[in-house]
Amino acid sequence: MKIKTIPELCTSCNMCAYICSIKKLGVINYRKAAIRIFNKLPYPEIEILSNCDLCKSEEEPWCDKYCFPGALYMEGKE
Amino acid sequence: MIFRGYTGKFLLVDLSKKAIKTIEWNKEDWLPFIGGRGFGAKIIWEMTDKSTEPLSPNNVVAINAGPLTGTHIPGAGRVSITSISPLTNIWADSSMGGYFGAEMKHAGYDVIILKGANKEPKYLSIEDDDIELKKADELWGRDTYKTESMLKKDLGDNVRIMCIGPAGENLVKFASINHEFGRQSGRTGIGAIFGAKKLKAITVRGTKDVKVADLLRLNKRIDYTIDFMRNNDKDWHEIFLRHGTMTTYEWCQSISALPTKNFKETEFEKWNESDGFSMEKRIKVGKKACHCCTSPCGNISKVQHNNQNNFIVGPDYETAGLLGPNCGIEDIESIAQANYLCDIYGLDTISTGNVIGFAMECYENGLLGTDGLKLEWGNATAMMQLIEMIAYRQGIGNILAEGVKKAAEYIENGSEMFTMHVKGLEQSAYETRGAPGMTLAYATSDVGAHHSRSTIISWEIKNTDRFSVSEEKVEKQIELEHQRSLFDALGTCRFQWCELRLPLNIFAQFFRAVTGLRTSLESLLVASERIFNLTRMINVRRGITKKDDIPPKRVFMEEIPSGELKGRKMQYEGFKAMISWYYDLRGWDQETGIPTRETLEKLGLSFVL
Repeated sequence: MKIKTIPELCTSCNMCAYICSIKKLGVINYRKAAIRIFNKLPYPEIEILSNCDLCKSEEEPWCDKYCFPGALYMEGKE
Repeated sequence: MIFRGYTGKFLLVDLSKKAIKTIEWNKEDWLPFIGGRGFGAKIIWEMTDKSTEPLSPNNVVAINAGPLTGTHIPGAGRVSITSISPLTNIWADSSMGGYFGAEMKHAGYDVIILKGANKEPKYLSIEDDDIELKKADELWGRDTYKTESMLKKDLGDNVRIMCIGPAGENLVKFASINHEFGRQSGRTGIGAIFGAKKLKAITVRGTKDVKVADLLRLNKRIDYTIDFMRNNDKDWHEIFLRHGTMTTYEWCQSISALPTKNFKETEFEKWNESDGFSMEKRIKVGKKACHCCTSPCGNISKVQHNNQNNFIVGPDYETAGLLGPNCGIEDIESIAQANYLCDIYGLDTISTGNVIGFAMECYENGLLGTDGLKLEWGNATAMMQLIEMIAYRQGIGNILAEGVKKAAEYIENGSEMFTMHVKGLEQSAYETRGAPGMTLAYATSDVGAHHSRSTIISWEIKNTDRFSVSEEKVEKQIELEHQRSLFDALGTCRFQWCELRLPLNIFAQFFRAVTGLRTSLESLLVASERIFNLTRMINVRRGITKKDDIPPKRVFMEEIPSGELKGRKMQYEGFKAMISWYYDLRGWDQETGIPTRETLEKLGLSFVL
């Protein structure tokens, strides 16, 4: 499984990155996240880093769970 | 000293001396002012005086994050930018969304304070503790989009930027500060102060953690908040997500408060050519959120300019109302194009829409020579040209760049009747002859005719006889002035509360979880009252008294000429009664409008006496 992105739906809110840093490290710091959002018009760039472990202890990755616009989805998820 | 929520540090940059230092602030002196706009007020009180010239090196700009800023609370990326306004010559305060405030906190600063002036164009680069003033010769003269693009190319995409455009450089008195291609600190002309200081931009990159007292509790409150906003009223949430603040457009038309032809009229015949549905159908291509906002108001729209596709984050309601109906412009495409021009030149869209509406009314009445520019209502081509002329101070643009109050002093011949301002600040997009409460809200707002202190109009129409004058309305307005301003002190967005109806007490819970302080909502609201009185005292020190707490003349002197509210105007006696109740309830002197000694001492403001 891996996380796929739809930049057209991403609002650049950065919540995915903040929540990733909290889940992974227990700190509030989007720069320590395994996902990066680069704000651009009209649509941002989204980068998933190689240290993303898909929040393996959880039912779904937290970035996906907190992405309300639906810009992230799990490929290969049954 | 251990801080949570706060960084505990101010960054002080003296541009003249090229001196940069950090200051550790102490809790005893500063916590009574919460942060954000509150810290900004205390800094402006202490670092300016009654004669500080707004565009002189002596003026100070404080960029203030709040205690909640930088956490993952939805919308908590805001900064309040405070100074002495070149447009009004009094307290300046403009709150900006986006991501800049959060980045400041990651870099380790609650406030960035600027004083002095550069001799040559510079930009301020902040990379955590590494602070530098860098040459901006290549950036000077560039529009805001180009400036941000060039800086990101040089410094990397992951830097946050605020910058000015040509309007700020040319000292247009309502120049904005722009951020991330779509967010602005628009009101009160702080962009011109950057221009006078020859400061083109500030870039920030922070890598530090934002520390909070109780992360577990904060996460729970954030989950509750997100769930509440999405599910409390699903239909409203859906339309808010689709149209953002453009939801207000149709509402203002329906209650006859839509500024039309320089606020002369209150309904616009072609309103449904430029409302939220028109935007959605014809120009919207996506959504844009501020920091961690899960219910964003921002819309991305496409704009055609010089035969090229461009994009804006907008139009929002204030922009659409004032660059649209207020100038007689009928189509959403032209409004978006004007929005784009204001954004790239760095102009406040609210003041710009007012200034152009004013110019069109002067033109209609033969008061303004325009060198062939046909400034007729609804002439979009002329409007686009005039925006550029204002930004570059060309021809009549040079007069209009001073704002409506000064422009009317220059034009004379009764043009003052066409100026829609309070204390020199042009009015936001609510016409008030059918809303006495909102008339009072503009009159008493500390920055001038802006809606951010109290937008009582929605409450008074929903809950009272809208045309009535009552002490109840005045009480509510004061309550709103404290509630709404509190968000600018906390450093988070108020829409979660005022638009999506999240209970206010949640923000006190956020404050406690973030800071670890056991502060009640009531205490926070008292602090907000303290801040409101301090900004009043900054204005009093600069000569503001009761005589200035007065709405635009048109409100009393001209009846609404058409529509549902035809024949209605604000009665002066009614206004006089309301302002008298207002001073009484605030503890301000009836004759002068100055807070009494007793009021100031009660609020812990003895230091201003």
